[in-house]
Amino acid sequence: MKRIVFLLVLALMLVVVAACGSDTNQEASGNADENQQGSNVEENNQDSTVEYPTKNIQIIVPYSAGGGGDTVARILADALSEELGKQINVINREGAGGEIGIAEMARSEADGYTLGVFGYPDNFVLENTRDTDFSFDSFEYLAAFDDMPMGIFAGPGSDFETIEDLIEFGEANPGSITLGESGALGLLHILAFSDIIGVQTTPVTFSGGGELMNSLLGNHVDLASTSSMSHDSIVDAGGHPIGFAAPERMAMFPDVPTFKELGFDLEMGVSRVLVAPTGLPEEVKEVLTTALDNIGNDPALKERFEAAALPYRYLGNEDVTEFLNRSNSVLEPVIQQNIDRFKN
Amino acid sequence: MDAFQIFLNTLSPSVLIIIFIGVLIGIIVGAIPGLNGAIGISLLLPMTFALEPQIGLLLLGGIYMGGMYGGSITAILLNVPGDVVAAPAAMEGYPLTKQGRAKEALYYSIFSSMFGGFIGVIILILFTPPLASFALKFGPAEMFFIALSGLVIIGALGGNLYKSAFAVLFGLFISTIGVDLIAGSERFTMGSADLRSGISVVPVVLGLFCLAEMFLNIGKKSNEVTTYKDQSIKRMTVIKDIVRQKFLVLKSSFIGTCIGLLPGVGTTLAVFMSYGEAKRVSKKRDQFEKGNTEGIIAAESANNATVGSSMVPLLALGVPGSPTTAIIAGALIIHGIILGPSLFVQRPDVAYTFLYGMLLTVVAMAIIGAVGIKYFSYILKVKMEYIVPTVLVFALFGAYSLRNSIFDVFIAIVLGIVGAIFKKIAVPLAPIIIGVVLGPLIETNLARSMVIAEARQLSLPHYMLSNPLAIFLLVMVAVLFVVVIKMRTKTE
Amino acid sequence: MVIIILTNIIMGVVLILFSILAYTQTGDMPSQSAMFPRIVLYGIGITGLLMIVDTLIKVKRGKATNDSSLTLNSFIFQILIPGAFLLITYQLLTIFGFYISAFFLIMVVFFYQTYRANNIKITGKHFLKGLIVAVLITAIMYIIFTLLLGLPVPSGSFFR
Repeated sequence: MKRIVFLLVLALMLVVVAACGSDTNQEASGNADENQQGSNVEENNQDSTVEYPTKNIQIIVPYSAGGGGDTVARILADALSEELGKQINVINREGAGGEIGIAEMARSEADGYTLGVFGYPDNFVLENTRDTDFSFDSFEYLAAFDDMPMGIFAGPGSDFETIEDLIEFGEANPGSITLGESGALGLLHILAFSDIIGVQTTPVTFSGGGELMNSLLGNHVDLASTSSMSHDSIVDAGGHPIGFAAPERMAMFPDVPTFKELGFDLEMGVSRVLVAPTGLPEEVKEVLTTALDNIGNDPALKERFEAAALPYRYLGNEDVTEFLNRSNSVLEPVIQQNIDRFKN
Repeated sequence: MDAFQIFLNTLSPSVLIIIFIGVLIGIIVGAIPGLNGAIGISLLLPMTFALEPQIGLLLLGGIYMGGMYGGSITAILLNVPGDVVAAPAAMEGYPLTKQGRAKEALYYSIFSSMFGGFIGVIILILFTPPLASFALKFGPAEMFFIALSGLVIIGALGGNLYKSAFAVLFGLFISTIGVDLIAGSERFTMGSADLRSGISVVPVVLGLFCLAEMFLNIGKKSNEVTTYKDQSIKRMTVIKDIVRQKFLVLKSSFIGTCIGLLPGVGTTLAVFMSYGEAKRVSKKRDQFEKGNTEGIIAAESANNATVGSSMVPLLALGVPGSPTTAIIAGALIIHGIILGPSLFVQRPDVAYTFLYGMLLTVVAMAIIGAVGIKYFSYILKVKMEYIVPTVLVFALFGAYSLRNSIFDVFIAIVLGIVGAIFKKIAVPLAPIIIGVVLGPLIETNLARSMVIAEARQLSLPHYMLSNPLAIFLLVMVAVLFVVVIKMRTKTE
Repeated sequence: MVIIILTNIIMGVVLILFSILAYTQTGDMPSQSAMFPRIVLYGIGITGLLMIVDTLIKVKRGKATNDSSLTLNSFIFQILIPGAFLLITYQLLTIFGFYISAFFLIMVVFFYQTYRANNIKITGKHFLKGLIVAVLITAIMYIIFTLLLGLPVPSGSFFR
């Protein structure tokens, strides 16, 4: 009996505490609003003199800490927080090849306090191959900062010196060339590459960049499909690039041929973009794009990117939207052709 | 600048202070359930941008080293492992605490960590190039056999045979939830986007070990709660005992070093393998899980040994094998330092300062640990009424922090309930963790082997046993299997 | 005796049912993806079967030993109620964010445990104590995690 009474009291307490919690918070949040922005929030909106930013900003990164996308986000957070005078926190929200984090960005409120950095075309590949909660139009693309082509690399002591060796061997032994990748874009690149050189290859999926590198350098796979960022480490360990899927030779690696000059029309790469959920107030967008143009055209930012082996290319709000739309129309047919490889 | 000069530079006050700060932060984040070295490192990553690269690196290295130890403190004192790798420390250390030997367990833990850490870093300094090329020999087939040997060693842990088998299968099942890594199809996700990214090991450990333990504490009458008796023990006694068991320390550090070298395998397997191995060869096998210091020595020296060896492929090849080393790689990349064989030629100042500094992180860890133990054990004087709610809220926070995911909090709670039931019906929990860790290793490496074998037009066994290392590993798995079965039949 | 037989046999049956149920879910998966989970589920089913057989043999030989300590009482007070507290906290977490939920959880667990451990009624004194503890722990967490480290905590839908 005692126990039952006690449980009832406890249950009652739960309700009371919950109710108290909600009450005090309504008040608290109401007060905070009043204190911070004054009672004339609505007027402010109409006067188009929204104060932004008034508090800390967070940047969501849909990958784990330490990779290329994360590095870009952290450099940007540093530069942008100096420009805006507010603290900017980078939040890693990894999982399901970026899907979890990108969906979270799309869900968050379009007030300019939650931004996101991810490597395009991860979002586009995801939305076309899975049933995602976001689409290309879920985001306002504020700027793009780098342009990193995908490449094909051979391990140490590989018989494949050039692309011709590869084609020759591949035509004689269809399906016997193994190509490692770690991520949707890497796989897409392999499929498009094999298509265009007319050789049947076998893609091998790895769970992360580290495992992929280990298998390439240990000759457990013949080739690897990864971005130009891995170039230095692979070459240093005795491997070599076969070519980059870039429009022209990269300033950083002038010796590496592009597939285009080798006669294969293949361009594919990662471009880290800074996004906000669609529906950003015009004033906030104005503040952000101005700030981004300022830091984006500053040579200091370019230097920091290039020190980190990230090929810098700044595109402001209008340029990036146009660039991405053009790129979508190139990628879409490639994805559709190979859709069964993704969906199995 | 020659190596000796660099070594002297490492001893400058600013470097030493940074190392101490790093280790201290590492121990604290390690001790908080759910937070671990990787989270500590990603927190302080932005700070390293402003520091000189070698100083920033040592800050992160210190956190890594300290984080490997910190989890054992809460594991021993409260039976709540602060980190996955401290689970065996809880299995052996907490029974000792209940016997009033908490300080002894803590001393065993810190000094074993010290020895393991030293061995790992010395191997890193002396043998980086040969070990890096050795690590490259591990392809999908070899990784598969390593994972299998981890599965076999579970047999050496305690518990009813069928219940242990169920526990490991349950862990393997948990690991299959989510988007499958090979074909990209959804498994057991029930349409939930959160389940698509799978269930990671941290919320599982928090639920099974931390929340479940707290649940059972909640119900305890106060006279059931052990009262703290302080049995004094001299530090030197413990050190001497550890030195006397040098074989155990060396073997455990060797296992830790080897597993640490391999990308994507992780410290958890190293810790459980050396723990299981220590139990297998122990003369006092029946004392395991009732408070055997050998188990603490094995687990603690193994986990700190992985710190040094996991840096080998990172520094020598630019291959980050674990989340923690990936973040350290990120810190180097931002400073424009290229990882690979030429690191030691182009930036010897960074490379060697870091290597020597890592030795000092071990020293700092030992000092902080040895001095701090007196204060750590004050936790035992706090009443359970205060400890339980505190641990619960910290654990919920830790579950969230890993991926900033509220869904992980939910997973931890559900597994907490499951874990409490399992504890009551004597299903051992450690095999579940091993299953979760090994599941993806076994499956993806087998699948990769199949894909590559088909591409090379070989049969699967032919491909998997195409080199001496793989054959050796298979033989090792077989021998281990026979030995564990024998050990089982003897005890039953 | 009856209890041992029951828990082990119930567990065996639960395992077999679970493996069958989960196995039906593998039907729509491509064969490559379904292989590994199927092997695991076969294993769980067989383990369940062996567990039942083993228990029955041991009982027949009179060798059965009790390794389970699950009773209805402990299930309710040590698993069901604490589990319910945490699930409620999880719900609060999604609505009100971390600190309010933490505050709630600390209070409730403190009262519940004080009651369980000492079997006494919660008086005003205890209430005050619980309040102070909850405020203190929540404040410390706020200072460390939010102010010092700038870590994100669950914010809850209520304040969006």
